[in-house]
This record gives sequence, structure tokens and C-alpha cells, in this order.
Amino acid sequence: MTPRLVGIGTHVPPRRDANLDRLDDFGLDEAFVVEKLGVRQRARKEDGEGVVDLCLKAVADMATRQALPLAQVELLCVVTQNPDRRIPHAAATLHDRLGLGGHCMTFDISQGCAGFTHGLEIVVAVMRQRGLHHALLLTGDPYSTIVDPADRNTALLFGDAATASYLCDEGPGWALRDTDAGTRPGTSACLQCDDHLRMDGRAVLMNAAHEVPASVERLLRRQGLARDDIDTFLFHPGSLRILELLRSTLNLDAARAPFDILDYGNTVSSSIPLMLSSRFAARPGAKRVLSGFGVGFSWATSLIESI
Amino acid sequence: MTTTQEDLLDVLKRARVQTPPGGFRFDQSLTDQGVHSLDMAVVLFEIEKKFDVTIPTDIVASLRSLDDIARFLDGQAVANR
Repeated sequence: MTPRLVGIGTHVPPRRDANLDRLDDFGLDEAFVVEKLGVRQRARKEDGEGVVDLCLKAVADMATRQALPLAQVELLCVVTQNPDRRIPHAAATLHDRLGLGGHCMTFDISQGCAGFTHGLEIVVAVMRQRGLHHALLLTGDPYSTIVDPADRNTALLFGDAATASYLCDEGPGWALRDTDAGTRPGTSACLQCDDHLRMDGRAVLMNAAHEVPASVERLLRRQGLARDDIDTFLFHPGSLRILELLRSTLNLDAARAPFDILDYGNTVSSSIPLMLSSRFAARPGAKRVLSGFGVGFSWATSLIESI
Repeated sequence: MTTTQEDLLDVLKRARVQTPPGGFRFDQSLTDQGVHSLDMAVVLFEIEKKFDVTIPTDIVASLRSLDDIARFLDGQAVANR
């Protein structure tokens, strides 16, 4: 059996916080916000909305794109580091709210901006191991709940969103071919949260500049592929500066390594599935690289192929 | 070889860092001169490329001013002799 991603539902809250209204607070200008940060406004959930609410909306959107046999779902995984409560895990609450069956395993993954690619690797591995036919991989990490609005490094960057990826073992979709993942030793302090998120932006970007291109090259080498064999590289859009560094290092243009977040922000583990969802269709045999990186400092780079 | 001020100003230009009115001071933290952490990282990455050095993660935070960076690069040059 070959598990494949057959559809992605998304939810980006319509409410927006404008970065241009806050330039004076941080001594920044519009050019910096648009041309370097790459975030003009941030999507923000409604007060009182939580991870479960956001994920339910993403699942509802998924069901409008593709027949979703909820009664047959055998695995539900939620990627989040900001669950609504510590116990139970978000996947259990969502299992209740979606009315899933007793045969459906549920678990959460605590991962940040590399969460989707970590989740994809794990869910596909479990589907293969146990011969599962239907699985849901959800991402939802509303950073608006942990960002300090006065923090210059993070206040203008993150947006809220959720996604719902449906995997099954038949029909056209994207099959996972390989993943390169790791964690750079001695870098766990680059992103931390006790009361509020604290980010050493310099360290995050330096780690990304060192590790992500190397990860992409390892993956391609292992698969006997060249960069030209890949139609699109979907890197986690941490900021436009990071994307530009990756494009420059790997000699990719904006068409092959897009950056879409200008009007909703860095949505952490939802960023890659949001980008993939908006360019889901592809000819059979097309190959894409997805690379998430951040908290840890960790990364996971996946090769997917249209089947 | 001693790292020149021109070398470092060239790096800042390549990194597209906005120059403050009156130009950069070499003895003052770049952050205090308005350089955002995102730009600082690009500056350090451009330094790695231009001078063919690797800046260890544990000293990234200590490279605050252009003088700090020049001292680091001069130390690397001495170590490589």
C-alpha cells in the first residue's frame, strides 16, 4: 500500500492585525515589513477560539474539497505546541467533536515550524506499519496566544491558522518518498516559551542558513535527484529574509521557492500545508520538496511525488 | 590580514542593511543602531561567505558591533596562519 495525501483543508481566520499600524512602536519602516519580514498583516483568531475550533474549521473545509469518510478514519494526529488544555490531548477532543470511531488512534505531536513534515513522516510510517487506510493530520498553533505584543523580534511575524490533511491509500495524491530530519546540537534555546515566546532571530536564521540547504542536498543525493528534477520547493516561510537566503544558496527563483504569507503571517506548522493546498494539482510524477524548520533548532525535509 | 572597515561596510551593503543617519559607528552595537535581528543574521551569513569562515552558534550573540566582528575575523586569520 502507498499512503498518499489526497486533500488539504485550510482555515485562515478572516480577522487581521496590520503591521503597518505598529511601525512606530518598533522604529521600523514599511520597506522592512514588506521586503524583509514579508508580513504586511497577520491572521488572528477570534478571542475564545482555540486549537480545536480552528482545526474543526479546517476539517470542514477539507470535506468541501474531497469526500471525507470520517467513520473510516483510523488515525488522527494533531500538531500543536499550544493546545487548549494539557489533558486530554487535542486529538482526543477532536475525536469527540468529529464523532470518530473506537478504532481510531489519536495523538498529538509537539513540534513547531517543522511540525507538518514531522507529522507527515510519522503518520505515513504508522499507516504503512499498521496497514491503515484513512488518516487525518491536523496542524493548529495559534501563536497569538503566546507572542508578547511588545517584543520586536516576534510581534509582527506570526499569524493564526489551521490545516487538515487527509491521507488514504487510493486515488490521486502526493506520496511521501523520503524525509531528512534532524536537530542541531546545542541550539534548543533559540526559540523558547514560558509565559511568552522568546526568539533569538539571529540564531534561528543562522541555523536555517546552515542546516536547510544541507538537508535538501542530502535528500536529493540519497534519491539520485538533481534540483532541476523538483518542480517546487516549499520551504517554511519563516520570514522573507530567510526565504531569500535559501533561494540564493540553492539557486532557486521565487517561482520555484514561493513565499505566500504577506497577508496572513508565519503560521508555524500550518505554513507548508497552506502553501501546498493552494498549488495541490500536479501532473503524475511531479516531485516537490517540503522543508520545515524552526523550534529545536530542528528540521524535516520531505520529498513528495504526485501519483 | 586585518579586516578593514571597507570590508565590513561592503558586507552591510550586500546584506541590504539600512544605514543610519551619519553612518555606522564601529564601536556601538548594530542592534542599538537600528539593525533588526533578521538583518543581523544576514550580515553574519554574508560575513561567513565573504571571509570563508564559520561563526560558531555559541558566539553569534557576542558579535554585537562591527568592532566585535572585526576582532573575530582577525582572530580567525591568526588561527589559520
